[in-house]
Amino acid sequence: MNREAFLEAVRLLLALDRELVAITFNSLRFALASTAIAAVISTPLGVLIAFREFAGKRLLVSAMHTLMGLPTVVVGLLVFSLLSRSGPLGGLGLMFSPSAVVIGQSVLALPIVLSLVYSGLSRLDPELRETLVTLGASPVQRTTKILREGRIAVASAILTAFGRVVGEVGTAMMLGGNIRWYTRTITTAIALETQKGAFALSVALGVVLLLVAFGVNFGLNYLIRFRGGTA
Amino acid sequence: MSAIRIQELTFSYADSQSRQALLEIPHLAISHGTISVLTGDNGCGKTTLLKLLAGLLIPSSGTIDTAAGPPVLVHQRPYLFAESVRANVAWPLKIRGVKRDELRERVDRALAQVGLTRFALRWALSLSGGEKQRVAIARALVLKPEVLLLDEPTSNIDVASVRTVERVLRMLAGDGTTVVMSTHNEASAYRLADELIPLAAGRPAPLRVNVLQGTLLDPGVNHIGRFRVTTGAEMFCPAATGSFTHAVVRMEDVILSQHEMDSSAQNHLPGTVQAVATADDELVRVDLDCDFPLSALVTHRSVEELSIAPGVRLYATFKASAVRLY
Repeated sequence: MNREAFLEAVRLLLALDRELVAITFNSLRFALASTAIAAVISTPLGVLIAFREFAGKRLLVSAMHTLMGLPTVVVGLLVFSLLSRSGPLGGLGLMFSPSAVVIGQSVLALPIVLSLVYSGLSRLDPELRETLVTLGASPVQRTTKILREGRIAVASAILTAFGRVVGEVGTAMMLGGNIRWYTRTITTAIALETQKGAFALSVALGVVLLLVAFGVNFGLNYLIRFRGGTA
Repeated sequence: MSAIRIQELTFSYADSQSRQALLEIPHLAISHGTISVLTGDNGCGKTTLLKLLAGLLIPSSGTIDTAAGPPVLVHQRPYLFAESVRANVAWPLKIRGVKRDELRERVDRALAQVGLTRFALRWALSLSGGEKQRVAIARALVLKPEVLLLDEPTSNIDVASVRTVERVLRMLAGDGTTVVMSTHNEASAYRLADELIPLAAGRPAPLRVNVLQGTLLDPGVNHIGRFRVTTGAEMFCPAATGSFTHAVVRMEDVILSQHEMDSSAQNHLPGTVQAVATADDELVRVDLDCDFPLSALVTHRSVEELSIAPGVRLYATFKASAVRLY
């Protein structure tokens, strides 16, 4: 990489280059959508697992922890086989669309939110649940209150999932296909632009991604240190 | 009238290996508007019984009748919500959709009852143990429960708070609330209990002390004071200053004799035997009327030698120093 590419990257950043902004916007949009979907599904499930005793709970919990480290290309492959023309959901024609990326990233984020919400909430005082029952709360009121009491754990779970999803390249590449102005994200762009020798855009996008990651980590640290939560 | 009636209650955890039930209570009735105190060592089943009464645990067999609806339990280390004292106390009403004016009024009253009016806007988690305990009691009181259950309400808190909590519980019982609490704080138990319920290894255990309500008459001279029982009878006790309301005499410390004993013990009280009951393999409990009820634990052999039976007149003897004041 040469000096010109570096200067060009700085120029792209300072000028808020249209393509740079569009790609960044795509990345954030996909990651926000998939994290939101994962949060809506996983948070109530996490409450349920944390406060209910049932057969096979231990197995489920260790499965959840294992799935947290799911390789992105495996998720890509899995969703690809579902959405591709010959797959069971091929008729929807979702392949290489933003929806496909969001589905793949949701699958990735789901176990992360579930696992972290579960472990955060199970560290709450076991007497919380009994207190809510004895004060006469309905199941829905209990869940709402537990989430409120464990809000810092829930927020860190969601932030962590967002951080993972926004920086992953496997599913976005396999399911989105890096289509310019359509499904191209920061990570897929960096991977392909670098191969083509177009360093300037890669460097600029790399800086943006670092800033996002830094922001997420800063948020997590703030929650844990200043709001007395546990990750 | 009983507020709570227990019949043939047993409880064990579903995954328990042991054959014996963790808790086994053949019969127990708790009267309306009284304070009942569960006593016994750690692990004797006090907390388990309270959770059964609160409906947080389901009996393995038997029945618990709580005529007045489900009681509210205040835990030993209450869980307070991460919000203000006021919000904590208001929450049970909020989830019931109580209107704003009524809610405010009931929360204010509950906070006043536990003496925390000035703490309403404080962050609940920043309070001391005793203050937290009182917030938890207020949070239960807003529901105006007919039965209030408390697990060790005076064990993790400072001395001043113990007195406040005791006063609050007395006042509640006076207003008709039935209070059932556990404690291993003897002083609290004797001062508060209308009924002592000793438990041992999950079973009701015999009561081994006489608890007499009354007043300390004078601080005493030569280490001896006088205590007047509410029935009007008097006994000698250790000299003491302060406001004591209860005298406690262990049943084992009461000696029975046919004639008045010429001894160093200060208390010689004539009385009539009311009942004789086997306490365990070794001991018999003899209930006397000495112008106030007084019980003694004696051996089977003594019962035979003194021909103790209902109606027999005897003397009860115990040292002034055997009387403990609370």
